[in-house]
Amino acid sequence: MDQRTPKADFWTRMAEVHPRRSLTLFACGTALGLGIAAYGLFTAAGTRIAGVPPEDIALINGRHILRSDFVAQTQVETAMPYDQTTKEQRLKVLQEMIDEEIMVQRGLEVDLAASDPDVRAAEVAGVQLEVDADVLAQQPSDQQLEAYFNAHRDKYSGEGIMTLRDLIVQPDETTTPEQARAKAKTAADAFRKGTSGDDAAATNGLKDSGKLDRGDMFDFAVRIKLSPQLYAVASKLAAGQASDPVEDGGITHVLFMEKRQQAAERTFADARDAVFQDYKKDEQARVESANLQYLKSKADIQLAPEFR
Amino acid sequence: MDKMRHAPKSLRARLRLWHAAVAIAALVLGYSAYAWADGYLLNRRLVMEPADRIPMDTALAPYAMSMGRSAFQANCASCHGADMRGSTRTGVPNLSDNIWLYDFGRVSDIERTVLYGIRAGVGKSHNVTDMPAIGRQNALSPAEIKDVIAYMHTLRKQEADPAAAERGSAIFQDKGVCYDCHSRDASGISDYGAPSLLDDDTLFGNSDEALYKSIYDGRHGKCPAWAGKLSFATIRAIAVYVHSLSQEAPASPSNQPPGAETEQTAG
Repeated sequence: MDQRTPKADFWTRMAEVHPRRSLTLFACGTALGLGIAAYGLFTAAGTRIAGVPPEDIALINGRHILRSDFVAQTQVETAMPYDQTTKEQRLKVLQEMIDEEIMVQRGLEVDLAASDPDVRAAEVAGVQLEVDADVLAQQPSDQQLEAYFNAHRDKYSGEGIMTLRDLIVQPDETTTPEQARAKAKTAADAFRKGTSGDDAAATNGLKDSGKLDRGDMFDFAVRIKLSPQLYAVASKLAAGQASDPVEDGGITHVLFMEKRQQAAERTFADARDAVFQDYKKDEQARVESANLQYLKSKADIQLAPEFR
Repeated sequence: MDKMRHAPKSLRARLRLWHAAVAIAALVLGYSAYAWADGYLLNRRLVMEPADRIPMDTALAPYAMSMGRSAFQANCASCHGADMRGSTRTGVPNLSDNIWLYDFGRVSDIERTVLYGIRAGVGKSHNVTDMPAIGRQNALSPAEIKDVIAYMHTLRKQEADPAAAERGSAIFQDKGVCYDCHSRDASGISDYGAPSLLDDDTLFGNSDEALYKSIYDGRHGKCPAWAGKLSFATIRAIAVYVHSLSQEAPASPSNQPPGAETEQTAG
């Protein structure tokens, strides 16, 4: 005798447990769940909150427009206290704020910053303003400024002026280094005794290195044009003095200082205004660079092979 | 009931205990739900009501005050002090008086300052201008600055050299262009955050040295923006709290909202 429950009884005799009915319900539940998930997946239009949070006047694609901003904007546009504005005025302001927000979001969507130099510049300026806010608000004390002045004294001395000749012994196969030094020394002695630079050079076979202009030059210009070793020697010479022979880059040099006006040192009191400006500028540069450093540490920057 | 009557004595006692426990739990739950709903509704009203009406609302004001007090202590007291009196050493303003650098000291005004700060590096900050470095920029000589300070002393009914004060007055109204921000009568313009020079409430104190430094090097104070860091309800509650404590003090002439005539401004 067949003991199995007839097919129709699965659904009527609910008091009894039957595996076939359980499996059927399980399969239906699974199919329904998958169906809902698939619908959600293929028709998703972004997460949406039901209703506007109470502190906001509108939500545009999830971005808030704060009531407080709206009230302030309405007052600015109508030049009236908010309570005295009409519903039409408020609606107009709200519409403008919504329009602006939509345009901003569109700008982000099409990534305007990637192509528009003005947007890029505005974003850079905005980030820097945020970073610099603390430094701009800072008022350095006189002690801080004086410490800065002492650490950067060279910035606050007036530039000196020098008329300097950088002469070299023309190197050739017949002149040994010793002979070159001897010629340079003889020329230097002659210059010290009052012979003109041109005569002392011509008599001993020396010629200008071509690094310096003839005539007056600021110290900083000489510093740029000469090697550090030669500039160190030149900066110690007074007018009418000549250096001893100097070997620099395998060539024998001798320096004649024809005229010299020493750099004028400024006191802290004289330089205070410039110190204040420089201090602020340095602080600003420091925080901007620290900020960039931090942002770079978080960024994934990959370079083309030739710049690695 | 019949079952109960026939149940053993200990079981009946246990059942009564259970009934009592369930009743207490229901009461606690009910009260919690009421308190939560009440708090939720108050919070909702706090952010939706026009800011300037909150101090007059007998239900909302105490709620905002208690919320604002703790939020102020946690976020603002480190600069402004627990007593809100600020510091002339660091140039942090006293919030317990009724003198405001910006706007008129209404809840909505204070709220804007708490939201977006002052020169906080945010576009909506109060950032129209700042005190220029008049001495450092050689607009005035040190002697001229001292004359202006003498004039400021006379504005505050303090002792000063009359000749220097007269010269200072001329500089204030002409060469120094001080009137442009502080107004001709020196009562300040709160749109710019330019303070009244008629009272003693000075950010960095009233000593000649402090005043000289302000004029010579300029000032550029800062208050952080709290938008995005605190909830809007908390920010509004702080504004209500700060506003409430300032109401007992007299207002500065520069802090009268449009249309509000006082003895000081009328005079």
